[in-house]
Amino acid sequence: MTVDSPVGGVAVGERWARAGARAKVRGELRYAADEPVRPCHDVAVHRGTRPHARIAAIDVSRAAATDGVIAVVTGADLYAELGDRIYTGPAFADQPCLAVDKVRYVGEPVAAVIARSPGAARRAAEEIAVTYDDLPPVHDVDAAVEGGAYVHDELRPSAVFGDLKHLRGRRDTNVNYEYVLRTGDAEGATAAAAHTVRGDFWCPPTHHVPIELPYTAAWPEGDRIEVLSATQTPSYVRQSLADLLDLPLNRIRVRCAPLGGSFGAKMYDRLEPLAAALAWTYRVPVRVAATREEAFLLTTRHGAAVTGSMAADADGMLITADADVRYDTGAYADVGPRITAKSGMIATGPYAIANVGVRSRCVYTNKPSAGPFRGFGVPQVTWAHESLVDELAWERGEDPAAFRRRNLLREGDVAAMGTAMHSADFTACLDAVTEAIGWTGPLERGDGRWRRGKGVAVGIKAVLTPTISNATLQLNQDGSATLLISTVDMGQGSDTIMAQIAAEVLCLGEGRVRVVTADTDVTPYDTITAGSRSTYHTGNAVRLAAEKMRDRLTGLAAGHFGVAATDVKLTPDGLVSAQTQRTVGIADLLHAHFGARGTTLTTEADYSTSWTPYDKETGRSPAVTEHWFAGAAAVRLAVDTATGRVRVEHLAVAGDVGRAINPALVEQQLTGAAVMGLGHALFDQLVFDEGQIVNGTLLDYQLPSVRDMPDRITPIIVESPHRTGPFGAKGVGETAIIPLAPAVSNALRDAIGIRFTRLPLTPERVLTALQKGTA
Amino acid sequence: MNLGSSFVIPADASRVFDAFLDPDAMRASVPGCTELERIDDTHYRGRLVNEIAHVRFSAGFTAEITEVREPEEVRAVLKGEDHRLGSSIKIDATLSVRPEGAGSEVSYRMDVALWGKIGRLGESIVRRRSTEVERQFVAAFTRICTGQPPDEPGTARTERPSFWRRLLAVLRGKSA
Repeated sequence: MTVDSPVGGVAVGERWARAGARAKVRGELRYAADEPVRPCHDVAVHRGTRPHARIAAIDVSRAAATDGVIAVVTGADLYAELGDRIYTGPAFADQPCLAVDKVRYVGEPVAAVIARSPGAARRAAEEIAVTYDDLPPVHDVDAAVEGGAYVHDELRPSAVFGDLKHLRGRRDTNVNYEYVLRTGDAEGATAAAAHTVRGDFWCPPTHHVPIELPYTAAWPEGDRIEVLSATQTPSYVRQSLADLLDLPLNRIRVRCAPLGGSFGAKMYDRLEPLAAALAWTYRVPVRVAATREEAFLLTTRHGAAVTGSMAADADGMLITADADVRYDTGAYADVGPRITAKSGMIATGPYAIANVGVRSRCVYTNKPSAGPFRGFGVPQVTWAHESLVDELAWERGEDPAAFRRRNLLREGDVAAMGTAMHSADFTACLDAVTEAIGWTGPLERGDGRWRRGKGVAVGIKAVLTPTISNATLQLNQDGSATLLISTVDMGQGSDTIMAQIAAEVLCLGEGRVRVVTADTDVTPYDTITAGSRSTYHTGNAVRLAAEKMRDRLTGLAAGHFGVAATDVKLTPDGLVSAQTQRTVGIADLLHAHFGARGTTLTTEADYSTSWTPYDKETGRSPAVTEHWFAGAAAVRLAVDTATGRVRVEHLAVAGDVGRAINPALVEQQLTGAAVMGLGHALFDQLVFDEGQIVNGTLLDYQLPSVRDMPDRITPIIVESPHRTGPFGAKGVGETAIIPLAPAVSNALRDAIGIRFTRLPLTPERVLTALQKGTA
Repeated sequence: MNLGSSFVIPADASRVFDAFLDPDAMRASVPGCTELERIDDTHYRGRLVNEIAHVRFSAGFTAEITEVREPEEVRAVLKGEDHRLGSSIKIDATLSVRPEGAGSEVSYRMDVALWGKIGRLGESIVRRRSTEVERQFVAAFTRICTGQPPDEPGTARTERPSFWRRLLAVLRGKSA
């Protein structure tokens, strides 16, 4: 295998300090809502109180008469201005920024008040009176599959994903997308199997809970509109607003700020369509700042039901697996169809299985819309396949780790969906985590109130493909560099990683490369910051731009020295001629070249990936993704049989990251994702009653606190370099969350002999299972 | 959310049953019911002013009697809305009355859908409040059914402001 060889070796693999860390700790970093912009009016939203109803009338007279109110705007008002363009969304153009004719979930925005203060806007929004004609709602994902009550009259694919256009106009269904994978003979193999396990699994919807709340400001600027928003997807938002307002791209500017966490919550269309529509239509500057309760309504993680089975032959080799997956996407599809396919294709796990059948469906219900969430739907299917494969090992009386190890995909193996494995060392991840927790060592199991167990799980995920990244690099005359990319740093450390990649190529030291915050007027197009794609995609664009810069410098130096370019090498000390042994620093070289101080040398590069769309009949593709993520988690835990509380004593997580550009940041990503996964295993869930979220505050929504942290966490970096990754690197943001919940559940199975199929594993659920002897 | 309970009223079943369909009796019994009028044989209209946790609401509501089996059971659908709070409620209620010794046992089952701000308070808070409301209702309804003078209409809930309201009143220098 060939991997890019670092010339200078000054940056990649180093534990550089996180860019902006000091400002964050000192509270000096400015997030979007802290950025100074022109004075804006405040917007408050009146939200629907019905899960499914026609809007019979909206009385805004009292609201309009409230002191300080500039305008009260309904969906009908905006529809009169924008027509069907009011419907936005990445997969389906199905979501209006204010409800038109119908509401489809409790809390849907129905009208907006523009006022001179937040208080006036809020008071006026409370004065809006809406009369509804109730329609039958559908809350349960399986009931929605059956039909009867339909959330949408017909499907409306957007222009973003061309492969969905055949669904346009389809009626009388809540299933907006279906992915099917068929290879081999799953049914026949099951009949011939020596051991078969089956199960019905459920992952509840959850919320992202980033610390920074969603925020968008928008204002007209002559014939243009400017937007400042907390978003992971500035390039997407610009296109979406161009479509919404029917403006050319160059009349829309979307600026970002560093995000205070997101995890998928600030992607695609969130507050931006409403803010932009109000600002443009009413020609006023506005800001929309979501409260915490409103943030819970903006987007959620898909709840998912999985019915699956796995079977092995007498030798302990997996021979068949199937999965019927139903993703609850809520009232609007968002990116649910993509989640349905990308997760469906690996719904039977990272195993070499010849006979596979998967049916994965994305289903509308009358709940808040579900969208992207760290893991992109994969943790939900991993919950099922890693529980099943564990139970299969138990049935065979075999060590669960050894059983997995024998069946895991290896380098070059073609997975069930038809794409070969590369740079995805599942066995190394499995071995690393089991070794870390002392898998084969003695375990004090306990025989009184506390019982102990150990569990392991493995995860696989495909990187988002195809996508596009661009980078523009300005090398300043003084030898510092300014990097322009539209990747958004939201805590994952992309500003640090990208700086290290550029610095590695150009032999620059720590702090010499600064990354410019995304601004569509300034920074070049980037598909999105999501799906752990940035290190690979944007990183490659940065690497290419830096290599172009290196080539330009060596060319300039060759002229300076009067030697061939091949004789010049860029080093941390400057450019050196091997023939003459003369050295010139970057500052002197550029000063001599331009004859001025403060000049810049600019290069740019783009990096795109392509894929082969899956076959519509079989769901298979020889190149469905650019690369794979491989990860594993192992847990040793104790269960309090008196209370049902689970205490994780040691958690080890490993991810194959190809090459760790910054090992410290990789370890932090592995640890952060593991803790979030621990929350999903033990606490997190959105609770609904008749479509109403009843725990949508931080008083009620349980997250892991510092007291719930494992006694010990071991993040482990596995490096199996990718042949085209920047210095062999891939992403890592999602890797550790994927196998976390089943690893915990498998340890519970080991501790108390009970297989859980529904998350989260709350003390109540565990205690009830202990009393009944079954989950 | 499903709520249900039973209680005993020291009056015969037919009297109890009639009182349930009498808007004046119900207005005096239901805590916070400030208005209640019969529109026709099966439809009622009213207003409920009450408080759950820290949230005070004033909801106009309608009730439709969907089934009556005198003097044993009545089924009704109630819908209410507080526009200011952005909250609405829908209740499918079944109420049964059967003789119990010298009195009557009243059982009710309610399938309650609460949406908006009040709904977001969560089931545990609403359930706890409903227990308090039931206690107040039974006391007032017993007075009605046993011929004692009722409280003033709409005052059944207002026997004592909450701790926080009393504290606020003290801080503002008003009498609690």
